[in-house]
Amino acid sequence: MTQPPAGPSTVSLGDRLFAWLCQSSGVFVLALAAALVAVLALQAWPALKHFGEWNVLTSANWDPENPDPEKRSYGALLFVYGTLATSAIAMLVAVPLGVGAATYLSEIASPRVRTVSAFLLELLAAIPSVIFGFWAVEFLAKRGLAPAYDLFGLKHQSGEGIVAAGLVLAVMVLPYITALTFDVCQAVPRSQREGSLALGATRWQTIWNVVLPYARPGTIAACVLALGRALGETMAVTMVVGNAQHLDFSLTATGDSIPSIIAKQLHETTAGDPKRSVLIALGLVLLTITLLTNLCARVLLRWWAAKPRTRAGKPIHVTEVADLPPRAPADVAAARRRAKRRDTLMTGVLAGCQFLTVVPLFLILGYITYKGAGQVTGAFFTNLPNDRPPGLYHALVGSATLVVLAAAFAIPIGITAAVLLSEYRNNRWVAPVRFVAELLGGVPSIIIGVFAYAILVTPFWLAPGERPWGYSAWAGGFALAVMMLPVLVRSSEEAMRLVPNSLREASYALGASRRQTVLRVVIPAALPAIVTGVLLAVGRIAGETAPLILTARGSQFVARSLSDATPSLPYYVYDFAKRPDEALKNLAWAGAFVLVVVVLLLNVAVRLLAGKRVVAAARAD
Amino acid sequence: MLNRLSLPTLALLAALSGGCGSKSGGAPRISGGGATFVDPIMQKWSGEYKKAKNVEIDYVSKGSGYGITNVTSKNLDFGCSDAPMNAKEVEAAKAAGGEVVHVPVTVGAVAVVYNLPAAKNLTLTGEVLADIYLRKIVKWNDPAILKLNPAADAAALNADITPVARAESSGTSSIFTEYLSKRSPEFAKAVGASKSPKWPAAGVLGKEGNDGVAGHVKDAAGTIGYVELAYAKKNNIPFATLLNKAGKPVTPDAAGVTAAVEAAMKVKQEKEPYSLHPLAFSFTDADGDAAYPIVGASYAMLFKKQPKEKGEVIVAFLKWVAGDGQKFAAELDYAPLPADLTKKAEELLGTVTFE
Repeated sequence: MTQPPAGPSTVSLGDRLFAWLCQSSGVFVLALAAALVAVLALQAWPALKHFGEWNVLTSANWDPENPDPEKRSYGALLFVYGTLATSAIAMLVAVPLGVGAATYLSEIASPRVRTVSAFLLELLAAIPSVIFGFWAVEFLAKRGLAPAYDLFGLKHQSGEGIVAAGLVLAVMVLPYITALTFDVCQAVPRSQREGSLALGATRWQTIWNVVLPYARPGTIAACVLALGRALGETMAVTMVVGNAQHLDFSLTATGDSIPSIIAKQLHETTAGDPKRSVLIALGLVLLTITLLTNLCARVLLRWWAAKPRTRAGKPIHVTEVADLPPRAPADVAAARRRAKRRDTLMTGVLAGCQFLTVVPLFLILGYITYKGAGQVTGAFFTNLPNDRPPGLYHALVGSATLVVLAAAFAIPIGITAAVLLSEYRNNRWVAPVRFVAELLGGVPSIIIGVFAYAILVTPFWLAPGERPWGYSAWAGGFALAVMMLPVLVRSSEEAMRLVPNSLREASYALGASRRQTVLRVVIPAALPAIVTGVLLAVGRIAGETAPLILTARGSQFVARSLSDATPSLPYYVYDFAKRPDEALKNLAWAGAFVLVVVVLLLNVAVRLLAGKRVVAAARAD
Repeated sequence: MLNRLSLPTLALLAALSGGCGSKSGGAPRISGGGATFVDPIMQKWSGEYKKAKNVEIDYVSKGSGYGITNVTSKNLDFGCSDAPMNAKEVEAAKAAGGEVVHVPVTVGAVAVVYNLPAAKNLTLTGEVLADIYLRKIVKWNDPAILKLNPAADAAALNADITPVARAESSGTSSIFTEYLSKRSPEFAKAVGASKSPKWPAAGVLGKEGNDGVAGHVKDAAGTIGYVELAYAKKNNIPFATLLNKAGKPVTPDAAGVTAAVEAAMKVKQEKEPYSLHPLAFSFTDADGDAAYPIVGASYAMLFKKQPKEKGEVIVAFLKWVAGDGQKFAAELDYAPLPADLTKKAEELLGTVTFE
């Protein structure tokens, strides 16, 4: 962006302070990421030291609490296998469907279908993971897979297991694959398609021979990004995977995953317990894998963006072609008919893919509405769980508290860091901050929960009696803020980049300093887009459950201060979803419904604001 | 309702202005947690005690293992567990804050719940249950089950058994596996009594909490599980009749629990972890014709050294629980503590010191 003119006048104190503030925010993001890795490594150290000796990654014998100390064993292969297997199934299902749907939307669908589908996919992506888990265990496993297994005479555990978890993960990553692949297909130059069509190729031949090969690296990157998300997912997997203790490779097997075992068992360990260090070491393994997948995807995308926009094919010598005898007209016609038939067929198949990607959205929304809408009563909003009739008033208050606290922490840091990235581009911290913020966005939520748990709930440098907070809104809010930060940094930076440079030039020309330009010109012009980003980030954390299990936990009452354990809506959906008690289970349904409605409304608000953004940007010009 | 809706913002402002340290006025709040076994009656106590003494007992049920470790790390003011701390856990607690007292707060039956529309009033034994959880019996029409239930329709029972167990460290698991270990030497060798039993074969489904097991068994056909009686009764989940040590068929109820408690309290507790604590008893597989065989107590655990103000509130609450609170046991399908145990519990609470 435009730099202020270098003049003889000294930079004012306010300007220097402002620059320092923005740089500090950027450095804070770096420090946060470094602290996350350091704390995890420190806590996992006892296990890492004995990694081979304890057979952590080579044995499936997980028995850390055996009453006989001789028999205690920390083999975690089961969880590694479960994590990989569920993600593999998810990719197997989601990649063909997602890529098919994306090509359909990009190449075939009418603009109207495209708009509607894009909206539906955004909604699907916005649904909180605990809702996917609840739906998976109640509908997919009990009412879908269990009868299906019975039909084929397969042994199963109420339909739960690796396959059920893999399928729900597939539904969760579908929108990512579809949206990213769609963008990649859209970036294929028009000339490529025109060339193919001009040579007489059908639309399917163009898609298959031109568009998809051209888009391949980008598509792979999209799939790898989706894989990273699947690997780190906690709630949807833990609710439906069956929490098994044995490696079982059969089709209907139950299993368990790394995030799931951390969410269930980390808070029942004490400092110094080998089980704690092994669980955190597993977290570190998960973090490494997801960071690697993320890095791979980014490298691929960068390479794809940089590569020359032509595709080398096999050279054809015109003389050879000319020497061939001409084909009989009947043959040519037959070949053309075959191509035509295949084109119609494949158009149908691609349309089918697109259809299948939006079906789960309606299944989920339909089932949650069917079960939950009728349960939302006045008592739901005003009573506590032990009242008759029970309600989730305390969880609504708690969720609001957590979200506001997280936002209060993340918004100032996120926006100032974004100012650094967008307005101080010569600063040496810009490249590392942007890189780390992107990686931070790919860190699984449970890992952020472990981090907050280790430094705020059970700060390891303090003796048990001296810890100021324990399970608290502080810890929960912090975890959510860490999740919000990367989304905010990225969206705010993009928002500020959208502000035309001419505005900055005009400001500087009038003698304004950089601080004045940013605060009076750039941020006001970018405000609608920044607010959109904030809403997006709030939507992401409002339904977040996994880190809260370890940090804010739950409570039967309204939290009275930020150092009390703080109930939240997603936590209670998760807790009450498993209850046998009809009244409480209905609360979970009602809570799920309310949560979905809130998150989807936020998304619609984002859409409306994003529409406004275009207007604001146009006016600014 | 509308003005309560705007409360989140108000509550937040109040919370922010309250700051972190100062707990604003109103009722004192005690944070408890752990065992899900005791949760139904604990929530009842919480409500009644709030009415009677204006003290809020915030009990969060997360499993006995959670209760033990979070008392140790002082994230809870008191914890509950149905399995007393073992030697390792006692050591860890000592290092963190000294001695921990175990106060029995309730006794109850662990019901064997199942979901089998084709069979009502199933009768089982400890040996058969052990084989089910060892995955040696995998069908409901297994000869061993049919032999105990001659009236059952063998053809209708032709279904797979899905055993459901706990996914987290649980005192109910400890009670259940202790019973199975007493009845089946093979089970004792392969699994043993444990809060986190390692089931020897694949195919055991894990669910969180007594509530999670009960919720799943209630909904999924072919399942069998073990939960505190209150969960089974309140939610109309069928439970099995068991043959006790004397060979008599007994269903879980307060009388069967009381009979088991009376018989077991005559026995000197020599085995860990019971020997480590003055008021801890193993109530499983007790003698007597009327004794229900899977019985356990839930213990409230707290450090013997307590902070002055909070400690007094906790001790007063637990004294109330061990005394007056027992009158709610019957309606919630627990058994009241024997008078003798109530007295000893109050004495034990008298030894807690405040500083």
